[in-house]
Amino acid sequence: MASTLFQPKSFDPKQGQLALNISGLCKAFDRPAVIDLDFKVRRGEFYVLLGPNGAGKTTVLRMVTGLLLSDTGHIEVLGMEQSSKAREIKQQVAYLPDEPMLYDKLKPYEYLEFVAGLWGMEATVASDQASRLMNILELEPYANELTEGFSRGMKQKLALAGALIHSPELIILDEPLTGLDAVAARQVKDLLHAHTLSGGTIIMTTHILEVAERLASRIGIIQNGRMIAEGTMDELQVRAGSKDVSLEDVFLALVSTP
Amino acid sequence: MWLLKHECRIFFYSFSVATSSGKATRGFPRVGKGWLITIILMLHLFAWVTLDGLPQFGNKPPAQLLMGVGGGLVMLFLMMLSYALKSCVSTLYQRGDLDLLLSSPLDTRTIFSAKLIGVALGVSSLALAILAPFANVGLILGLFHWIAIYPVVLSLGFLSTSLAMLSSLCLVRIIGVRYAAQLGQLLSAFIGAVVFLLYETSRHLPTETLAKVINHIRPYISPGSIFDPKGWVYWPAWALFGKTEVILVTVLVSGTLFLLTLHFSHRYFVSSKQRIAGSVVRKTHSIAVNHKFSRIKWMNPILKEWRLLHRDARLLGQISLELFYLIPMAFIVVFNGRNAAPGTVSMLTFFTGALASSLAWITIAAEEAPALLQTSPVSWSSVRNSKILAALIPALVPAVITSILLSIHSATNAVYVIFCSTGAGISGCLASLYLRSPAKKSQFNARMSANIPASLIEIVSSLLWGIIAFLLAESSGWLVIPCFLEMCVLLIVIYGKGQYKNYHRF
Repeated sequence: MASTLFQPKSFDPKQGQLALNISGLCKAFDRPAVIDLDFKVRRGEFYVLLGPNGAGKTTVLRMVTGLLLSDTGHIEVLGMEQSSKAREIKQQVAYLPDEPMLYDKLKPYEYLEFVAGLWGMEATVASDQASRLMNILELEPYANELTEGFSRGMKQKLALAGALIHSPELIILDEPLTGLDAVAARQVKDLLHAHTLSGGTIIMTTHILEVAERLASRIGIIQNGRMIAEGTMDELQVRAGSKDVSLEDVFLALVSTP
Repeated sequence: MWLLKHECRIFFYSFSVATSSGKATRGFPRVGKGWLITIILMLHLFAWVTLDGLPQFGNKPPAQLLMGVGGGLVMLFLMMLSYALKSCVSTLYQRGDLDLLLSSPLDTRTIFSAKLIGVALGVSSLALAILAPFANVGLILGLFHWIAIYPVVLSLGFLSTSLAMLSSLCLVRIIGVRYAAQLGQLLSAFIGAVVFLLYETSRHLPTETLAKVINHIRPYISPGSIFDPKGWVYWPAWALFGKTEVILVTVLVSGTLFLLTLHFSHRYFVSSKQRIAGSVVRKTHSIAVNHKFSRIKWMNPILKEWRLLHRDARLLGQISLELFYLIPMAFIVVFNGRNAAPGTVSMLTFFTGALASSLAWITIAAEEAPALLQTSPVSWSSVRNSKILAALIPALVPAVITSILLSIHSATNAVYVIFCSTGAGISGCLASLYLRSPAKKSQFNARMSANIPASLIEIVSSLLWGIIAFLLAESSGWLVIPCFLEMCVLLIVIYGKGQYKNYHRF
């Protein structure tokens, strides 16, 4: 049922094969947060960005979504230059931060109605999509409650519903599984997986390496603002010198290397 | 005793806490302490001038003075009751330290007693801040009976706390914690509005009607009646003028009631807390929700702001307080439209501007999900306009209603009200948009002190629009001056947008 939700935009060869193209990205606050970062994410990929705390993962995502301006560098999203086509990009992108962007005093459908309105969706289409998402994410029994009374997992699911309601081409998620119980986490993972099966692209950060190992088509490992390793699970294992090592071993080996 | 000391300290900190540049502080800042000392000295000076000029009647005051003091004490008691209600709900249900205290080895009665005594002392201290100078100066001037202020005010404090405690237990059970806390605040605003209405009514009633009212009341205040100045109803007033036996009775009655409240309510309170803590089971609704998505896209963000506002009891209470000030003005217009025009028009414009600024702070500065708006494809101008409209429309409703009433007597003044109120509202919204920093809704009360320049600009702008409205109603040629000054204020707001970059780029 999840796969019927998504009608990804038809592929336009003129826009290229990349969902995200970052080159030479730099950002500094009191100290450098992102240093000369380059990486690409292809359309249809499930790309997971890993890194220890303070590595710069959230900073990268916020720059990609336009919430933060980079000091230098170049960002291209879905073949469009971020600096000149910001609105067109936002039309096709959804962002889910680590803290869900909800309104305490709204009910779930009211929240989804508001988000759908922001993306200019037609009322009937938005209503149908909202209904389906609420059912898939098992939020329908709580449709009459204010979100302030929701648990962490329910808030995250509702925020995800808000991200998915306008069928974005690219979904960017920052630690979406933190604090979720096993059932909620499985629902979220299934929904994300269905999105990539329909041709959509996902860029996600997480601390849960098992999730990255199972879902990601490619993984990037960032430390101290720099990309220290990137590739499929197989490629990373080769780099680590053994096919039998887990992602956790690869990760720990890479981030602990001076 | 240490728990009581802790409660008093918490009360003091909550009273004096402020946010400045997003940083929470506690205690009075140095500048505030200076002002506090100045105010205390000025109050003592005022008390000195008043008591020195008062004829010496000892503890046998004239009947009219006694009735005036008695009426004042009633108002004081009601204000203390409203504050005590708010404090009881806050101290017992909202502060969040009861779990810690109840899980400690301390006896529940000790905890409950300390909290209630803390509330009573806190409530009394607020009243004593105004009245104690009279007692102190009376002591210096040899008018020793004024020392009775201390036991009388403390008695009223303990009495109001007892009643507030019992009320809050019932109210929390019936309407919940948030609404119960709001009720205290609304009560104090209501009392103020009632006083104003009574005063304005007495001023504007025709002489014959006023005489009839006085004749109607006279039997109830004549000797032997229930409100006889020598009767028990005026005991607190008699106590204030130093009648020893009455002071003792007042202290005894309030003390006894307080102890009885402590004794009978503390168990009920503990069991109700446990019931609240245990009742976190979420109810799920089996009935399908049929929510209709709005087809009017431009109304969508405005509806969202109104939904957020009307469901937030605390914020609604704060806004309602501001509306209370508008009700007496509408009252004046209804009963005295022909003469009230210039003053009413200007006051209404001022308060509309202030109300719009408050609402704009909520819709703009206190946006809960700015990142959602920033990552959406909707344009900044569209978001900005929606938020301004969401603040402006409710702020204009009282002005529109009053102008309809005003139009019965003067259509021109009604137009002036609409025009100037809209101008004041838009100016207030723009000041919030360009000068305010992002904040949380819980910081609503501290928004003025958090950004004093922005607050001053909002007030000045509303004031200038009020003056413009006044001069329009008076058809005065001085109109050019406030118009010019208002343009300067708007330039400052626009300059603030560029200079401070505090405006929200959604």
